[in-house]
Parts: sequence; C-alpha cells; structure tokens
Amino acid sequence: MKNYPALPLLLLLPVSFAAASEPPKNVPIQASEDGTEPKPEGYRSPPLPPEPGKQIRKYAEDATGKPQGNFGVIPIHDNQKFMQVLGKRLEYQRDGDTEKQLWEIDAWYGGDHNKLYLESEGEREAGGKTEAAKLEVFWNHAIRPFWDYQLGIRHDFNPRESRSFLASGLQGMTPYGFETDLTGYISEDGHVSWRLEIERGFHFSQRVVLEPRLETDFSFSDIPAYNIGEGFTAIELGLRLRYMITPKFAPYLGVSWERKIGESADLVEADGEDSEFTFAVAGVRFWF
Amino acid sequence: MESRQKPYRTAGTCSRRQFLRGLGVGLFTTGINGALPLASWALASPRNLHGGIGDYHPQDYFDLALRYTPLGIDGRYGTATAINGTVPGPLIRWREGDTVTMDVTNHLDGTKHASIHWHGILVPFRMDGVPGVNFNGIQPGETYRYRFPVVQAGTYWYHSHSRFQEQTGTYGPLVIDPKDGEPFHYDRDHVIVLSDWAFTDPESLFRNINLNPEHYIYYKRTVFDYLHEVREKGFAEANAELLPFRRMNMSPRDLSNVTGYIYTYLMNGHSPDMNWSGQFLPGETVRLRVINAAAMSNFDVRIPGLDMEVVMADGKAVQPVRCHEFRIGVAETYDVLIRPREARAYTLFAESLDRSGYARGTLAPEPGMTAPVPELRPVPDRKLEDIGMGMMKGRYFGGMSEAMKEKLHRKRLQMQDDAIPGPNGPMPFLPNRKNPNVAMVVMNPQRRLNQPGIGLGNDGWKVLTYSDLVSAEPQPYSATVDREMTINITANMERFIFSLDGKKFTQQPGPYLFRYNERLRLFMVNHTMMEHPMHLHGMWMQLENGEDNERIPFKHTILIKPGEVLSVLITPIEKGDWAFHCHLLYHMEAGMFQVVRVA
Repeated sequence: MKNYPALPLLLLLPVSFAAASEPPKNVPIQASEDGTEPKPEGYRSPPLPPEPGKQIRKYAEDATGKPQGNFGVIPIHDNQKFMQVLGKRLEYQRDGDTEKQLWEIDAWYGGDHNKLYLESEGEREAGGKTEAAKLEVFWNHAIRPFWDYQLGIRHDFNPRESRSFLASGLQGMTPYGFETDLTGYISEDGHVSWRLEIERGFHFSQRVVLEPRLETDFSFSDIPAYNIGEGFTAIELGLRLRYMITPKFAPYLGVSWERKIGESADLVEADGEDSEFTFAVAGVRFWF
Repeated sequence: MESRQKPYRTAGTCSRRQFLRGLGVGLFTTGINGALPLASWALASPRNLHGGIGDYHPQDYFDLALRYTPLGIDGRYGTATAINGTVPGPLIRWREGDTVTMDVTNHLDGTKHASIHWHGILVPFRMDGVPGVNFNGIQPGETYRYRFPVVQAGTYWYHSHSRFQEQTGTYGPLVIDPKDGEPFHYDRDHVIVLSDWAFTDPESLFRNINLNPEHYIYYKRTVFDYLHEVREKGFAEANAELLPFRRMNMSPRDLSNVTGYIYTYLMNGHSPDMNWSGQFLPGETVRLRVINAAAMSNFDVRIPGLDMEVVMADGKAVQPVRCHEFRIGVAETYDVLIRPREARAYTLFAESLDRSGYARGTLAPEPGMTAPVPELRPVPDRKLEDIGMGMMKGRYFGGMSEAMKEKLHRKRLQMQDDAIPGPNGPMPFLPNRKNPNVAMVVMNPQRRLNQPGIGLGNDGWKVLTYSDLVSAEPQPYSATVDREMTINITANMERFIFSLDGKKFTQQPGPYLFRYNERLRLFMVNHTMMEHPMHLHGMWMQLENGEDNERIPFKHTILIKPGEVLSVLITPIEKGDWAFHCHLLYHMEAGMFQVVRVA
C-alpha cells in the first residue's frame, strides 16, 4: 500500500472532478469533517501529478485567447531583449622580454532563453603583429537553469592560413559557482578538438575579487602546420586580483602561467620558440 | 482643462492658512533642497511639524495629471513622473458609500501609456487600471475617467501600473473614511508613505540587474566572513551551512535585488536628512497610516521608545495587537496607534529588509526636536532551514538518497497533519531540471506565519507576525471551501527570470480560472530565495493563519517568505480579468505576473 500512494488518490479524484465540473455547490473536497476517518499512509502528499483532465481546472477555457492580448496591450514585457558587451580580459602581459597584448571580449544580443553570442579572443605582440585571433558566433539556447547550449562557428585569423570550425558546446555555471565554457570544434579539414575554460571569483571585500582561471586545449589529431600535436596541447593557469571601481569597470593585476604540452611543445620548440611562459599581467574587466 | 495646467496642486480642501504655511515651508526648504515637489499633506521638516491629515476632507472628485517633474533630493536632481507635480502624489480621501469620479490625464509624452491602479480597492473590472488586463492604458494626451462606488474604508494607496512609472514617483496615499465612524478612537492621524527613489533611469537599472543580479549588492559574503564563521562554529558546521547554498549557486545573502547603494529611501518624499517630522501632543493617541509604496524595498518599521498597536492591516480592521516592530512588505499598509506620553521627540525608523539603508522621520511635540537615529543592524544570512532546504544541510554532493526521500516524505505527512488546512495540502511541484526558469524547488516548504522573518525576532522585542492578525471585520463569505488550487512562486535569479509555476507571464497557457462567488482555497508555495509580496487585484485574500474562519484577516498583499507555504481563502466577487503578481516592480516586469479570470 505504501508504494502505491496514487491508489487512494484515484478514489478521491471523482469527488474533485465533480467539484470542478459543476457550479460550486456547498460540498467541500474534504475527506471528513471530524477527521475520524483513518487516512491511508501517503494519502496527503501525492507524488504523482494528477492525470490529465482529472485535476481541478486551473486555467480558463479559452486559453487560446491569451491574457496578454487584452485590449491590444501587453501588461508585462518579460521577453525584453538586451545587448551586452563583456570584456572579460583586456590585458597586457609580460615575461622578461616577451610582451603581449591580449583581449577576450564577448558580446551578445537576445532574451532569456535564446541569444546571439559572439566571442572574440586574440593576442598581439607589443610590436604590433597580431599573433592569433579568433571569432566565434553562437546561437545560445538555455537548456538548464544554469547552462546554455551553444552551436555556431569559429574562425581563426592566424599568421598562418586561417581556418574555420564548426563549434558546439556548453556555457554556464557548475555547482559551487565555477563559470565554465566547454566547446568542441571540428575544423574544415576534419580535425576535432575541444577547449575548456573555468573561472571563479572569490570576494575578499565588496570590491576586491580574486579570480583563478584555468584554460586547456585538447586535440584528437596531429596538425603540424599549426604546431598542434595529439592530446592535451596547452594549459593556462591564471590568478587575477581585481578591484571593482564599479561592477562595470574593474582593473586587475595578476599572473598567468602558460605551457604547451607533449608533442605540441616539441613542435613549438622545434620552431625555436619558448613553450612555457610566466606572465605578469595587468588589465581591465568591463562590461556595458 | 485649464486647471490641469497648474504646476502645483494639492489634494483635498486646503485652507488658506495651510496653503500659506505650505508655501512658506516650500520657500524655506527651496534654499536647501532646490526644487522640492512635495504635496502639502507630506511637506514637513523638524522646524515645521506636520499637524496631521485631519484637515483634509473627503471628496468625490479628483483630477490627477501625470507629468515629468524635476525632483531634487539631498542636492541631486532627477526627473519624476509625478502626479499633479508632487512625489508622492496628492492625498486622495474618499468617503465609504460615495461614488467617486477620478480623471487621470497622461501628459507624459513618449510613454506608451500611463495608468492608475487603486491598490486594494474593490472596483468593477474596467476600473482597476492595469493596462492590458482591464483597459488599454491612458495614451499621452488622453484622460481616463474612473468612476465607481466606494464599498470599503481604511488606508490604501494608488500607483501607476505602467512599466516603471511607480519607481519614478507615480504613487500616493489613499484614505477612505468609514461611513459609520472609525472602529477605534484616535486624536490625530499621520500618513507615512515609505518609498525608494533612484536617480538612475529605471530602464538602465532593470538592465543592470538583469545582466548582473548582484550589481547593486554591496553586502556580498566575503572570504573573511567565511573564515570568521569557521572560527566561530568550526570548520564542519560552517561548511555544512554555507556549501549547500554554493552548490545550488545561491547566496545566503539573496535578500534584495536593488539596495540602498542606489536607492534613497523616502518617508513622505523626504530623505533621511530632510527628516519628515510630524506633530503629536503628549497624551494623545496618534494613528499612523503606514504605506509601503516602494518599488523594491520591504521595510522593518519601529519607533524606539514607543509601543505600537496595530489596528488595521491592508485597510481592514484587526483586533489591536501590540508590538515594537513590524515588517511591511511592498504594497502592504498597516495602521498603528501610538500613545506617546512624554514631551520628547521619537524617531520613526524604517529599515530596509537587507539593512542597506533606512527611511527616517521624527514625531515631536514641538518644532526643532529630533531624536537619535538607531544604527542599522548587521546584514542577516539566510539559513538552509529558512528557505525550506534544511535537508540539504551538510550535503555537498550527489542527489537525494532513498533514506532522505523517506525522511522527507514522513516530515511532509507530519507537517500537513496539524498545520496545513484542507484535505490535500498544496499540489507538489515536481522539479523539472530542464526548465531554465526554475533554479530551485523547495523540498520541504513550511508554514511560517508565526515567524517574523529574516533578520527579525532576535532583538528582544516583540515583532508582529502574520499569525498575530485577527480580523475585527465581519466575515461575509461562506465557510465552505469549494475548490483548492496551488500556485508555485518560482525564479531563476541568475538569469533574472521570475515566474509562477515555472512559467513567465508570456509563457502561461492562459489566465487562471476563478469561479464567480465560489470559495477558493489558494495555496502559495515560494520556491525562491526571496520574500515576494504577492498581490491579488479585485478581491480579498483571507490569510488562513490558524484563526477561526470568522476571524481570519483580510489582505490584498501577502509577503511570502522563502520556502514558505501558506493558504488564503478567496471569494471572487467581481467578474472579469484581474492581475495577480509579485509587487516587487522588477520581478513583476521579469515575468512574475498572471491574469486571473473570474467567470
């Protein structure tokens, strides 16, 4: 009996159905007035929703004529579209003689559930040569309270030949507040890779935030032309301490440790470049 | 039409002396505060005590005009959508039994529409003033004539129901004199309108909290708070309480979306520095008609040194109940009697729920007197138990175990046996992890009408709770409950989506159905982390707070605590469409709104 709590509920349903379908008569939906009737266990919290058509009707009949149509005016604008430009990192990096400028800027337009989401990231040497730049264009669709599904394309502008990718991934927040961006890519040559970014802010005061950051890339194929080997290709660990002058404008200082891994490291070193950097960084996080 | 062009218009019959006095004060304060658009019922300072609203007589015709009006507070200037040039608007006073005519003209160019909703007033459906529900709004340049019989008495208020006009000053007090005399004696009455003012344009304010719900919150928990708790309570206990919040991506300090960082809290349109001051004479019984006309701020009101006696809640008489402090949710009204005996000043102190600021005034027998202003209390932290998530305590990973489900089930049974009225209790709201609108489903909602709420009750004085309210009004409605219905209050603050039953207003399949003249028990379950003042237009909600059916209090707005379940009895007495919504302005505009069809 204990495992079938719906059974007594079913016995009750005709009563509630009668009450719902007829004009109100003075019969309450109550088991008994004095409460002497023994209630079966589980009777009062039905774990199952009532069967369609059997529940007390909650919505008016002409649900086709939606309430928001009244008098041709919408009372509430809960589908408002917004646009945001979010400068996550706009920074200057330095490790010995190596100086770089880096940007990671997102912009989006849309509503609560669907957005057009642009991600742009790149770096240039202090001299002015753009080393790498990428632009991603996504359709963001809310699939969980804290997660968006992303589908779109990525285009890399390299000093080498530029490439395009089909991109698909998840963007959102894990339990315990880790902001996560996991995206898988298939390049136009059929190479598959993914990238993971995780960051989380810790408030030290109302305006001082320490933000650790992890970024890692993984490739399923060797692409020597782009100095990419199979497996994990690079890892970047950062720690940035920012001061929110306003929530929209927060300069920061920090360190960032980057390293190429495995075959990718060998390929880079074969080119005569360093495969490991420890940058001191200074930059600003902003949005408008 | 000429009369509407007057820039300064006061409500009620205003004697020549009063007018001159108001003018004098106006000129005097102009020097300090610049353009100060205040109505004579509100204008006061420690040097010019307000004598009360006894001289304002009921009228059955009012002419209200909405205009852009410059507003200066504490040396800063903004633009208000003021009624007859003042913030708050004129004091509207009616007599029970009269048929009143209200002409409302929209002079706000560039707005889609304006409107005035008579909050808590029982009116025919077309007179309720919600654009898109009751009428199409008042377009710029148009005048809408409201005309309806007044069938109730007490303290109410009125405000715009169009977009964010309420935030920018389109609200005012509404007092109705009973035709058979007041149910209690008093010598003098003051209207106390609490509100919040932001110099930021509400559109950008709304955008800011949409894109960053913590934008205006400057009482976030820090690493040092955590370390402090670890030292106080021990590592395990501190984690057991905090980490389940973090697991749900919530903060124990989700108290409010817009705080004193951006708001200036106002009492009768006066900032704390301007210090609205009302007069009393020692030995008098003074009636304070406290109205929370704020857009987003719940207040905790007290008068250090004085007992208060609550005699009316939401305009309906209750049996007098003594307290030292009461929480007034947005859009609620309370009438309290005070009996000051000493010839000294008292501070009327209204602290915002999140302790980020206060509105303040003074009650004094003679001009020039002020009393010390209490300090703000520390920002409270919510406990898991407070949000109906006590089961989560100490759980960091994984879902619900079978043992836990069993325990929960038993607890539900126990709980429903004694406390929750009706045979079935609220219909359980099944979590749907795929619904982005719902960040949290409370596993174990509780009846908490006998609790004063977050941050209250630990100061050693008596705080009013909903279970203290015992109606002193006749109960005209049937005792037999015909139907039951459950409404779940849900939200995802991270995305700033607020919803009912997991659906934003525009996602609802249609209006809720109430049957004409039935007796409906409506359960409300709050699955969010915040207090929501839920307001039902056009009919009373009678809060089942454990009293006999004859004595359950009438409410038009109910502040429902996080994780709380409560039930109200409703008899829909007017056919038509009515709004049902959270009275926090930006929550309403983000989707926590529904239409109720009485048919």
